[in-house]
Amino acid sequence: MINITDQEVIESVKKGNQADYSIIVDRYKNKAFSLLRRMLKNEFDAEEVLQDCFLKAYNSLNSFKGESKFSTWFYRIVYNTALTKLSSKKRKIELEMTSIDEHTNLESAYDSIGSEKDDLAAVISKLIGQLPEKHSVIINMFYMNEMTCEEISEAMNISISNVKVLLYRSRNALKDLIIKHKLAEELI
Amino acid sequence: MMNITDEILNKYFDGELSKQETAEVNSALSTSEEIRKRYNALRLVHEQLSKIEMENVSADFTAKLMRRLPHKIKVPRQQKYFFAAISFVIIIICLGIVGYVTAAIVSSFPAQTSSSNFIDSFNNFSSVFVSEMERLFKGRSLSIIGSVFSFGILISGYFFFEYQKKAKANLSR
Repeated sequence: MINITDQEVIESVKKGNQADYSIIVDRYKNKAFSLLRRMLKNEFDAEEVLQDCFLKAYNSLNSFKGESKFSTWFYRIVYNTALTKLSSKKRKIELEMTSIDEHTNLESAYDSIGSEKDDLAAVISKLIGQLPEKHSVIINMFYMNEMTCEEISEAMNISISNVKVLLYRSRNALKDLIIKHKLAEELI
Repeated sequence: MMNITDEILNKYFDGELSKQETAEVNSALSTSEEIRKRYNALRLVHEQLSKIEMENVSADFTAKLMRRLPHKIKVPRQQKYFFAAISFVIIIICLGIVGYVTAAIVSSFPAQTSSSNFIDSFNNFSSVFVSEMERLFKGRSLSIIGSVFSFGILISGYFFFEYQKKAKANLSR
């Protein structure tokens, strides 16, 4: 089962083996869900949007020609559907504005973390949620979904250099916070 | 000496620097504690980010989704209409040509065909057919038919291009 490529599964689904689509669903549901959770900040919305994304992908399988990887094509659907959901919740303005000063957001988020400050992994995980959407999406795609900058750029429809800039900024913001608050000082 | 900015450190970290730049960063890391501190903090961020675990959807997610799938993968409506329209136009043009030639042949037959034998009728039919086809695909008529076909192809090309654009936009929505 593991050796079957996405393309082979899709060909099988296109031939009428609908049940094979569950292989694709199982392969991507948690990765995409993590991404949506970070973007929508709500478990219920994330699961609902994820269902829509898989349905949309299924209905558009005939237009997927395999020119890019299925994962890139699917994450593009996920990202755009999440943006639509955000804009319908009138959060788009917030989305556009949030890239102004991620340091301020991170500082206040760090201050609000209580007893978990000793656990660096927990601190960083919480702080990612406070990064502007685009930044946290890129972090998510790069680290959890193991996508390359090229694939992220294709999925988000932004340039590769933009992806790198946002990735570097996110890392730098977290790095500055670690240095400033002397977190895990023994490791630095 | 290169100024070791955070961007340079990030690129060093991702292996995107040239050999010479990498050597310069290596040398800076061995001599400057401040740069080493920034690099180590960045490495720590990278390690922690790599360790973050995925969140899981509810256990019955796949089953619920599979129940919602339509039985067949949809062929986009627009695509169906597009191909139907193109086929319709081509059929109409072909029917027009066949109808025109048939009408010309029928009208050129002599009234008392019953008296002549079969070979005469066939010869008569083929000669009329050939002459009508020659007339149709010669000179001005040919340029008219050519123009109609070219126009049809141009229109089809335009709609095909629009369809591709819309399909792409639908995916991006």
